[in-house]
Amino acid sequence: MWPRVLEFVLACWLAISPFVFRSGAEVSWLWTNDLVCAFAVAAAALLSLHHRLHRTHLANLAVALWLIGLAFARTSPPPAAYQNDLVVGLLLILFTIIPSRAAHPPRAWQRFFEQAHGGGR
Amino acid sequence: MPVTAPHPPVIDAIPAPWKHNPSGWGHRGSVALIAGAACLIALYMGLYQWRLIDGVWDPVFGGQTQQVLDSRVSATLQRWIRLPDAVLGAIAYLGDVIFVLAGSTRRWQCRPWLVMLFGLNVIPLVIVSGLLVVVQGAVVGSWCFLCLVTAALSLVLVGLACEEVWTCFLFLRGVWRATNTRRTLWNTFCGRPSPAAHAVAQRMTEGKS
Repeated sequence: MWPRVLEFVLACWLAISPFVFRSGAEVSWLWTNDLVCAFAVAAAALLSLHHRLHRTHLANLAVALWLIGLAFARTSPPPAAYQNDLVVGLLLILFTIIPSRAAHPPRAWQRFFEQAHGGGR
Repeated sequence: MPVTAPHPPVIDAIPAPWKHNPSGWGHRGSVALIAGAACLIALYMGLYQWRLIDGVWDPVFGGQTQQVLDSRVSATLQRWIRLPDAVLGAIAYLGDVIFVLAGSTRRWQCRPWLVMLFGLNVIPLVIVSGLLVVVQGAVVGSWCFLCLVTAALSLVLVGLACEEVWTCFLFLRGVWRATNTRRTLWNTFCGRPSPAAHAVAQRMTEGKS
């Protein structure tokens, strides 16, 4: 579950980012963008904790690509707020790839072991 | 349906041709520590490039490290990637830490995609680190001690990652030879079980668990 916890922490950081990186005339746009993205990331991470929705966190890949795209849409080097979004996007990809029950074999393999041998040691 | 065998498989089994489990926590823990150290060093240089700290410590080349980090090559890279190059390096090393910590001690069998992803993340790092070292000497004309340290750590990481990636390759090659079907190979790569894949893994760990 640790990847989902770290995604939630990233969402919290994204939510407070507009307080840290104030960016002139774009403050209201950044507020909206960062808060909507933070809510989406947190929601996907929390929903993934339910066993039937355990792959919902993959939706965070779309949010990550959006955040990365925002930085690349700006002239280089982008302002600090956009560099922050870029870093959050890259980190989000790293965490999102990892399945929720990362420390155990996938459920399909565990079921296979149980059927074939009566469980793994 | 799989055939019922008398003994359950040992998750922390030692696969051929090794005398230890390359997916074991001891091995992966040392990889995570080295990648973590490289990540912190790269982040330290990135903080300087972001001007969040005033200078960079270099006991060997003195001010040359700052010349490298402030060089035109570094500025060009930053224009391309929208971030200081050292920060991107730190994120890549963090990727190594995350990819090596994820998965069970039998992930070479149960999640080959994760092992291969880890390998794919480690190899470009050593290539980029090596290239940057060459560029330091040939183009910038200055040397960066901490960059050399991270390049050396990347080499060590490749050496350590090879064992697990090779094990995974041998497993997938075994599945291909046993079934000769792309679908089974792809399913095995994606972490889906099959009697054939399990039989190959059992053969690789036979007498070693």
